[in-house]
Amino acid sequence: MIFFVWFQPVFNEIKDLGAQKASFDEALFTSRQIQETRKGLLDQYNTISQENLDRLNKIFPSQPGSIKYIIEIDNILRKNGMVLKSINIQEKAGGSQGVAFGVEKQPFEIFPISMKVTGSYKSFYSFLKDLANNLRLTDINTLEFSPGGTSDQYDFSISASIYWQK
Amino acid sequence: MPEDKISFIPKKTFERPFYKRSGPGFFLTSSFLLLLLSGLICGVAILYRNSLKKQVDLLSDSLERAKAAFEIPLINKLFNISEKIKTSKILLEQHKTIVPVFDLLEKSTLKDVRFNNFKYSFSKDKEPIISMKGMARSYSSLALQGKAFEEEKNIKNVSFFGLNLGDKGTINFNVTLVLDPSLVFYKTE
Repeated sequence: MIFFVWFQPVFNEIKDLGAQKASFDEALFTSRQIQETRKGLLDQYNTISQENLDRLNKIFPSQPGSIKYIIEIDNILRKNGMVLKSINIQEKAGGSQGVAFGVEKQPFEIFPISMKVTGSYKSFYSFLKDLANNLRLTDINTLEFSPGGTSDQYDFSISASIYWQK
Repeated sequence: MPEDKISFIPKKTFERPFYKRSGPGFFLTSSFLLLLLSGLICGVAILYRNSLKKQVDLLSDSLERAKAAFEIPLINKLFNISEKIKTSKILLEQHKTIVPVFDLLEKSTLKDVRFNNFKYSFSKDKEPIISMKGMARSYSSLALQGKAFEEEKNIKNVSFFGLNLGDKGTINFNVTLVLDPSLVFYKTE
Protein backbone atom coordinates (compact mmCIF):
# COMPACT_ATOMS: atom_id res chain seq x y z
CA MET A 1 0.00 0.00 0.00
CA ILE A 2 2.78 2.38 1.07
CA PHE A 3 4.69 1.30 -2.00
CA PHE A 4 1.91 2.32 -4.35
CA VAL A 5 0.90 5.46 -2.50
CA TRP A 6 4.49 6.73 -2.26
CA PHE A 7 6.29 5.18 -5.12
CA GLN A 8 3.85 5.72 -7.98
CA PRO A 9 3.96 9.58 -7.93
CA VAL A 10 7.74 9.53 -7.43
CA PHE A 11 8.11 7.08 -10.27
CA ASN A 12 5.96 9.29 -12.53
CA GLU A 13 8.05 12.32 -11.56
CA ILE A 14 11.26 10.40 -12.34
CA LYS A 15 9.82 9.47 -15.73
CA ASP A 16 8.95 13.11 -16.50
CA LEU A 17 12.29 14.39 -15.28
CA GLY A 18 14.09 11.73 -17.34
CA ALA A 19 12.24 12.86 -20.47
CA GLN A 20 12.97 16.49 -19.63
CA LYS A 21 16.66 15.71 -19.15
CA ALA A 22 16.80 13.86 -22.47
CA SER A 23 15.24 16.82 -24.30
CA PHE A 24 17.63 19.25 -22.59
CA ASP A 25 20.57 17.02 -23.55
CA GLU A 26 19.38 17.04 -27.15
CA ALA A 27 18.87 20.82 -27.10
CA LEU A 28 22.36 21.31 -25.69
CA PHE A 29 23.81 19.05 -28.39
CA THR A 30 21.98 21.09 -31.04
CA SER A 31 23.18 24.32 -29.44
CA ARG A 32 26.76 23.07 -29.61
CA GLN A 33 26.26 22.33 -33.32
CA ILE A 34 24.81 25.82 -33.83
CA GLN A 35 27.79 27.32 -32.01
CA GLU A 36 30.16 25.44 -34.35
CA THR A 37 28.21 26.58 -37.43
CA ARG A 38 28.16 30.13 -36.07
CA LYS A 39 31.92 30.03 -35.54
CA GLY A 40 32.47 28.70 -39.07
CA LEU A 41 30.21 31.37 -40.59
CA LEU A 42 31.83 34.12 -38.51
CA ASP A 43 35.32 32.99 -39.62
CA GLN A 44 34.11 33.04 -43.24
CA TYR A 45 32.47 36.43 -42.79
CA ASN A 46 35.64 37.92 -41.32
CA THR A 47 37.58 36.95 -44.45
CA ILE A 48 35.22 39.00 -46.69
CA SER A 49 36.37 42.57 -47.23
CA GLN A 50 33.89 45.46 -47.01
CA GLU A 51 34.49 46.13 -50.71
CA ASN A 52 33.42 42.61 -51.61
CA LEU A 53 30.39 42.84 -49.31
CA ASP A 54 29.35 46.01 -51.15
CA ARG A 55 29.78 44.21 -54.47
CA LEU A 56 27.73 41.28 -53.19
CA ASN A 57 24.96 43.65 -52.11
CA LYS A 58 24.99 45.19 -55.55
CA ILE A 59 24.84 41.85 -57.38
CA PHE A 60 22.03 40.63 -55.16
CA PRO A 61 20.42 43.52 -53.27
CA SER A 62 18.15 43.10 -50.26
CA GLN A 63 15.78 45.75 -51.61
CA PRO A 64 14.25 45.98 -55.08
CA GLY A 65 15.85 49.40 -55.65
CA SER A 66 13.92 50.03 -58.88
CA ILE A 67 14.60 53.78 -59.01
CA LYS A 68 18.29 53.20 -58.37
CA TYR A 69 18.30 50.65 -61.21
CA ILE A 70 16.59 53.04 -63.64
CA ILE A 71 19.16 55.76 -62.82
CA GLU A 72 21.96 53.24 -63.33
CA ILE A 73 20.60 52.11 -66.72
CA ASP A 74 20.13 55.71 -67.82
CA ASN A 75 23.74 56.49 -66.87
CA ILE A 76 25.05 53.52 -68.86
CA LEU A 77 22.94 54.54 -71.87
CA ARG A 78 24.08 58.18 -71.68
CA LYS A 79 27.69 57.07 -71.39
CA ASN A 80 27.25 55.22 -74.69
CA GLY A 81 25.37 58.04 -76.42
CA MET A 82 21.96 56.42 -76.26
CA VAL A 83 18.54 57.63 -75.14
CA LEU A 84 16.19 55.84 -72.76
CA LYS A 85 12.75 56.38 -74.28
CA SER A 86 10.75 54.35 -71.75
CA ILE A 87 11.26 51.82 -68.97
CA ASN A 88 8.81 49.75 -66.98
CA ILE A 89 9.63 47.59 -63.96
CA GLN A 90 6.90 45.27 -62.78
CA GLU A 91 7.43 45.04 -59.06
CA LYS A 92 5.35 42.05 -58.19
CA ALA A 93 5.30 39.97 -55.05
CA GLY A 94 5.30 36.19 -54.93
CA GLY A 95 7.81 33.43 -55.61
CA SER A 96 10.49 33.63 -58.21
CA GLN A 97 9.64 32.71 -61.77
CA GLY A 98 13.07 31.86 -63.07
CA VAL A 99 11.50 30.26 -66.12
CA ALA A 100 13.59 32.07 -68.67
CA PHE A 101 16.76 31.15 -66.84
CA GLY A 102 16.06 27.59 -65.90
CA VAL A 103 15.80 28.40 -62.19
CA GLU A 104 12.71 27.55 -60.23
CA LYS A 105 11.74 28.07 -56.59
CA GLN A 106 14.90 29.94 -55.72
CA PRO A 107 15.21 32.33 -52.79
CA PHE A 108 15.08 35.40 -54.98
CA GLU A 109 12.52 37.62 -56.54
CA ILE A 110 12.54 38.38 -60.26
CA PHE A 111 11.44 41.73 -61.61
CA PRO A 112 10.53 41.66 -65.28
CA ILE A 113 11.54 44.90 -66.94
CA SER A 114 10.86 46.30 -70.36
CA MET A 115 12.52 49.32 -71.96
CA LYS A 116 12.81 51.12 -75.25
CA VAL A 117 16.07 52.79 -76.19
CA THR A 118 17.32 54.62 -79.26
CA GLY A 119 20.77 54.94 -80.73
CA SER A 120 23.22 53.59 -83.26
CA TYR A 121 24.08 49.92 -83.53
CA LYS A 122 27.65 50.63 -82.42
CA SER A 123 26.43 52.48 -79.30
CA PHE A 124 23.96 49.72 -78.53
CA TYR A 125 26.66 47.07 -78.83
CA SER A 126 28.81 49.03 -76.39
CA PHE A 127 25.81 49.47 -74.05
CA LEU A 128 25.19 45.70 -74.08
CA LYS A 129 28.81 45.09 -73.10
CA ASP A 130 28.54 47.50 -70.17
CA LEU A 131 25.20 45.99 -69.17
CA ALA A 132 26.67 42.47 -69.14
CA ASN A 133 29.57 43.61 -66.95
CA ASN A 134 27.40 45.67 -64.63
CA LEU A 135 27.27 44.33 -61.06
CA ARG A 136 23.48 44.61 -60.86
CA LEU A 137 22.66 41.61 -63.02
CA THR A 138 20.35 42.11 -65.99
CA ASP A 139 19.43 39.09 -68.10
CA ILE A 140 17.92 39.94 -71.47
CA ASN A 141 14.99 37.68 -72.38
CA THR A 142 13.94 39.27 -75.65
CA LEU A 143 15.35 41.96 -77.90
CA GLU A 144 13.85 43.42 -81.01
CA PHE A 145 15.03 46.22 -83.23
CA SER A 146 14.46 47.71 -86.59
CA PRO A 147 15.77 50.81 -88.35
CA GLY A 148 14.55 54.10 -86.85
CA GLY A 149 13.94 57.47 -88.50
CA THR A 150 17.48 58.25 -89.56
CA SER A 151 19.80 55.82 -91.29
CA ASP A 152 22.09 55.02 -88.36
CA GLN A 153 19.45 55.16 -85.63
CA TYR A 154 17.57 52.13 -84.35
CA ASP A 155 14.74 51.65 -81.87
CA PHE A 156 15.58 48.80 -79.50
CA SER A 157 12.91 47.04 -77.42
CA ILE A 158 14.29 45.01 -74.56
CA SER A 159 12.59 42.78 -72.04
CA ALA A 160 14.80 41.51 -69.26
CA SER A 161 14.90 40.28 -65.66
CA ILE A 162 16.57 41.72 -62.61
CA TYR A 163 16.81 40.11 -59.18
CA TRP A 164 16.66 40.91 -55.51
CA GLN A 165 16.72 38.89 -52.30
CA LYS A 166 13.33 37.86 -50.93
CA MET B 1 -8.62 -55.10 48.74
CA PRO B 2 -5.68 -52.95 48.13
CA GLU B 3 -4.38 -51.20 51.12
CA ASP B 4 -3.59 -48.11 49.41
CA LYS B 5 -6.35 -45.73 49.73
CA ILE B 6 -7.32 -43.68 47.01
CA SER B 7 -6.48 -40.11 47.76
CA PHE B 8 -7.53 -36.97 45.99
CA ILE B 9 -4.37 -35.36 47.05
CA PRO B 10 -1.91 -35.79 44.26
CA LYS B 11 1.34 -37.31 45.27
CA LYS B 12 3.16 -35.52 42.56
CA THR B 13 3.13 -31.86 42.09
CA PHE B 14 1.76 -30.68 38.74
CA GLU B 15 4.41 -29.40 36.35
CA ARG B 16 3.74 -26.02 34.87
CA PRO B 17 2.96 -26.38 31.18
CA PHE B 18 5.78 -25.23 28.90
CA TYR B 19 4.74 -23.10 25.95
CA LYS B 20 7.41 -23.01 23.22
CA ARG B 21 7.93 -19.59 21.60
CA SER B 22 6.95 -19.90 17.99
CA GLY B 23 8.38 -16.42 16.77
CA PRO B 24 6.63 -13.69 14.72
CA GLY B 25 5.48 -16.00 11.97
CA PHE B 26 6.06 -16.17 8.27
CA PHE B 27 3.48 -13.61 7.10
CA LEU B 28 4.46 -11.04 9.66
CA THR B 29 8.14 -11.40 8.77
CA SER B 30 7.43 -11.22 5.05
CA SER B 31 5.25 -8.17 5.51
CA PHE B 32 7.92 -6.48 7.60
CA LEU B 33 10.59 -7.27 5.00
CA LEU B 34 8.36 -5.98 2.21
CA LEU B 35 7.72 -2.81 4.17
CA LEU B 36 11.44 -2.39 4.68
CA LEU B 37 12.15 -3.04 1.01
CA SER B 38 9.43 -0.63 -0.09
CA GLY B 39 10.83 2.04 2.19
CA LEU B 40 14.29 1.40 0.81
CA ILE B 41 13.11 1.59 -2.81
CA CYS B 42 11.14 4.75 -2.07
CA GLY B 43 14.20 6.26 -0.41
CA VAL B 44 16.44 5.44 -3.36
CA ALA B 45 13.79 6.70 -5.79
CA ILE B 46 13.47 9.99 -3.92
CA LEU B 47 17.23 10.43 -3.90
CA TYR B 48 17.36 9.66 -7.65
CA ARG B 49 14.48 12.08 -8.31
CA ASN B 50 16.26 14.83 -6.40
CA SER B 51 19.47 14.17 -8.30
CA LEU B 52 17.54 14.28 -11.61
CA LYS B 53 15.92 17.57 -10.56
CA LYS B 54 19.34 19.08 -9.89
CA GLN B 55 20.64 17.81 -13.26
CA VAL B 56 17.63 19.23 -15.11
CA ASP B 57 18.09 22.60 -13.36
CA LEU B 58 21.78 22.62 -14.29
CA LEU B 59 21.02 21.70 -17.92
CA SER B 60 18.36 24.39 -18.10
CA ASP B 61 20.87 26.98 -16.86
CA SER B 62 23.47 25.76 -19.38
CA LEU B 63 20.93 26.00 -22.18
CA GLU B 64 19.99 29.54 -21.19
CA ARG B 65 23.67 30.51 -21.18
CA ALA B 66 24.19 28.83 -24.56
CA LYS B 67 21.17 30.69 -25.98
CA ALA B 68 22.51 33.99 -24.71
CA ALA B 69 25.87 33.25 -26.35
CA PHE B 70 24.24 32.64 -29.74
CA GLU B 71 23.73 36.35 -30.51
CA ILE B 72 20.67 35.65 -32.67
CA PRO B 73 20.93 38.92 -34.69
CA LEU B 74 24.53 38.04 -35.60
CA ILE B 75 23.51 34.51 -36.64
CA ASN B 76 20.70 35.97 -38.78
CA LYS B 77 23.14 38.39 -40.41
CA LEU B 78 25.68 35.62 -41.10
CA PHE B 79 22.97 33.33 -42.44
CA ASN B 80 21.69 36.11 -44.68
CA ILE B 81 25.17 36.77 -46.11
CA SER B 82 25.74 33.06 -46.61
CA GLU B 83 22.44 32.74 -48.51
CA LYS B 84 23.32 35.82 -50.53
CA ILE B 85 26.66 34.31 -51.58
CA LYS B 86 25.00 31.02 -52.56
CA THR B 87 22.26 32.71 -54.59
CA SER B 88 24.68 35.15 -56.22
CA LYS B 89 26.75 32.18 -57.40
CA ILE B 90 23.63 30.63 -58.96
CA LEU B 91 22.67 33.92 -60.62
CA LEU B 92 26.19 34.53 -61.92
CA GLU B 93 26.37 31.00 -63.34
CA GLN B 94 23.14 31.68 -65.23
CA HIS B 95 23.88 35.26 -66.20
CA LYS B 96 23.46 35.78 -69.92
CA THR B 97 24.73 38.30 -72.41
CA ILE B 98 23.66 38.90 -75.96
CA VAL B 99 27.03 40.39 -77.01
CA PRO B 100 28.43 37.06 -78.38
CA VAL B 101 25.32 36.77 -80.60
CA PHE B 102 26.21 40.05 -82.35
CA ASP B 103 29.86 38.98 -82.59
CA LEU B 104 28.74 35.75 -84.27
CA LEU B 105 26.47 37.59 -86.73
CA GLU B 106 29.18 40.13 -87.61
CA LYS B 107 31.60 37.30 -88.25
CA SER B 108 29.31 35.12 -90.33
CA THR B 109 27.33 37.67 -92.37
CA LEU B 110 28.50 37.96 -95.98
CA LYS B 111 29.06 41.28 -97.77
CA ASP B 112 26.22 40.70 -100.21
CA VAL B 113 23.68 40.17 -97.44
CA ARG B 114 22.15 42.63 -95.01
CA PHE B 115 19.63 42.39 -92.26
CA ASN B 116 17.09 45.04 -91.41
CA ASN B 117 15.05 43.51 -88.64
CA PHE B 118 16.21 41.54 -85.64
CA LYS B 119 14.41 39.58 -82.94
CA TYR B 120 16.09 37.63 -80.14
CA SER B 121 14.20 35.33 -77.78
CA PHE B 122 14.33 31.93 -76.08
CA SER B 123 12.54 28.73 -77.09
CA LYS B 124 10.62 26.54 -74.64
CA ASP B 125 13.80 24.46 -74.35
CA LYS B 126 15.67 27.63 -73.37
CA GLU B 127 17.61 27.78 -76.60
CA PRO B 128 18.35 31.28 -77.92
CA ILE B 129 16.55 31.98 -81.19
CA ILE B 130 17.21 34.79 -83.66
CA SER B 131 14.63 35.73 -86.25
CA MET B 132 15.67 38.25 -88.90
CA LYS B 133 14.40 39.78 -92.09
CA GLY B 134 17.10 40.32 -94.67
CA MET B 135 18.03 41.12 -98.22
CA ALA B 136 20.56 39.33 -100.45
CA ARG B 137 22.03 40.47 -103.76
CA SER B 138 21.13 37.18 -105.43
CA TYR B 139 19.97 33.63 -104.77
CA SER B 140 23.57 32.44 -104.94
CA SER B 141 24.55 35.02 -102.30
CA LEU B 142 21.72 33.72 -100.13
CA ALA B 143 22.88 30.13 -100.65
CA LEU B 144 26.40 31.11 -99.60
CA GLN B 145 24.99 32.87 -96.54
CA GLY B 146 23.07 29.71 -95.62
CA LYS B 147 26.28 27.70 -95.93
CA ALA B 148 28.17 30.20 -93.75
CA PHE B 149 25.53 29.90 -91.01
CA GLU B 150 25.51 26.12 -91.23
CA GLU B 151 29.28 25.98 -90.83
CA GLU B 152 29.12 28.03 -87.65
CA LYS B 153 29.37 25.63 -84.68
CA ASN B 154 27.29 27.82 -82.35
CA ILE B 155 24.33 27.77 -84.74
CA LYS B 156 22.37 24.58 -84.19
CA ASN B 157 19.70 25.11 -86.80
CA VAL B 158 19.18 27.43 -89.79
CA SER B 159 15.90 27.87 -91.60
CA PHE B 160 15.18 30.32 -94.44
CA PHE B 161 11.62 31.08 -95.45
CA GLY B 162 9.50 33.71 -97.20
CA LEU B 163 11.92 34.17 -100.08
CA ASN B 164 10.76 36.65 -102.70
CA LEU B 165 12.21 38.85 -105.40
CA GLY B 166 12.58 42.51 -104.46
CA ASP B 167 12.21 45.66 -106.56
CA LYS B 168 15.81 45.92 -107.68
CA GLY B 169 16.36 42.23 -108.30
CA THR B 170 17.42 41.62 -104.73
CA ILE B 171 16.10 38.68 -102.74
CA ASN B 172 14.06 39.37 -99.60
CA PHE B 173 14.04 36.59 -97.03
CA ASN B 174 13.36 35.62 -93.45
CA VAL B 175 15.76 33.49 -91.45
CA THR B 176 15.57 31.80 -88.07
CA LEU B 177 18.69 30.66 -86.26
CA VAL B 178 18.66 28.39 -83.22
CA LEU B 179 21.80 28.98 -81.19
CA ASP B 180 23.79 26.88 -78.77
CA PRO B 181 22.73 28.01 -75.24
CA SER B 182 26.37 28.05 -74.08
CA LEU B 183 27.02 30.94 -76.49
CA VAL B 184 25.03 33.41 -74.39
CA PHE B 185 26.34 32.45 -70.94
CA TYR B 186 28.35 35.27 -69.46
CA LYS B 187 32.09 34.65 -69.35
CA THR B 188 34.61 36.96 -67.70
CA GLU B 189 36.97 38.43 -70.24
